[in-house]
Amino acid sequence: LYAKGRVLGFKRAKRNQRPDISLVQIEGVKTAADTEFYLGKRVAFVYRAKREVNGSKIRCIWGRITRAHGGSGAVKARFRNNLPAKSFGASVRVMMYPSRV
Amino acid sequence: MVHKPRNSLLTAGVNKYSRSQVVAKRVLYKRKPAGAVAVCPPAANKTVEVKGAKNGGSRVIAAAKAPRFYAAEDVALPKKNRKHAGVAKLRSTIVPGTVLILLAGRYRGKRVVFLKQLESGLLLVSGPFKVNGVPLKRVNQAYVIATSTKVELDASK
Repeated sequence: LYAKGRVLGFKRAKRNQRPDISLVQIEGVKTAADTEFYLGKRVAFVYRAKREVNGSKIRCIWGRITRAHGGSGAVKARFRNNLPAKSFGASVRVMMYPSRV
Repeated sequence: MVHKPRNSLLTAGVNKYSRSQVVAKRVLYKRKPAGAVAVCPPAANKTVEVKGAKNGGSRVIAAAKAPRFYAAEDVALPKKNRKHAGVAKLRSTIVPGTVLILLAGRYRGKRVVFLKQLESGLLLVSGPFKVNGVPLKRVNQAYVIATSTKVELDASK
């Protein structure tokens, strides 16, 4: 019940990067016009950790898709806590809610 | 009684009409104050006859009882919140009988029939239970995709 996405990196210029916003590529989304459906949708970066927290070794960072990035369907997402740089290239779940359909 | 403002502001701190002029505008000398709204007579104290030789004859029972407990320190009461979020407007694609897809929660992915919107703004929804095990349930509009499939509902809800 989610679309798959990949974390591409942080928002950046050539030599400086801004870790508060991450770039995400959603599978199947190829143009900036297509991203309109995904704006506002919640995104979850799910990862595993060694230590159990609240009964689970799986942890999650939630965020939302805020705007398109460029013309080829990439998207900017802001997470509750910034994503760790380890997440570059990792999968991210783009949920279908909040739904506007 | 609401009225157009009787006074207006020329600049900060300077009104167009002085206080006595505003009073004259209100024509108070002609009006009688409405007077205290008829107050129900405070419940009278009861007087009760007490039987038995040593009990002193009669006792007065106060109509308003003193509280049983007084807090040791005065605690500030939190202010009442006067702000209420409005009720979410129902999407035009959601009509009673529409089949919805639940996006989150225990029944995520289930297709479910929309019954009605409750006063809180949430959608009342049901499997129906016999069909897919989703009971009568409240669901937020944002967590639902409306399909174009509609089902006939009879109005006896």
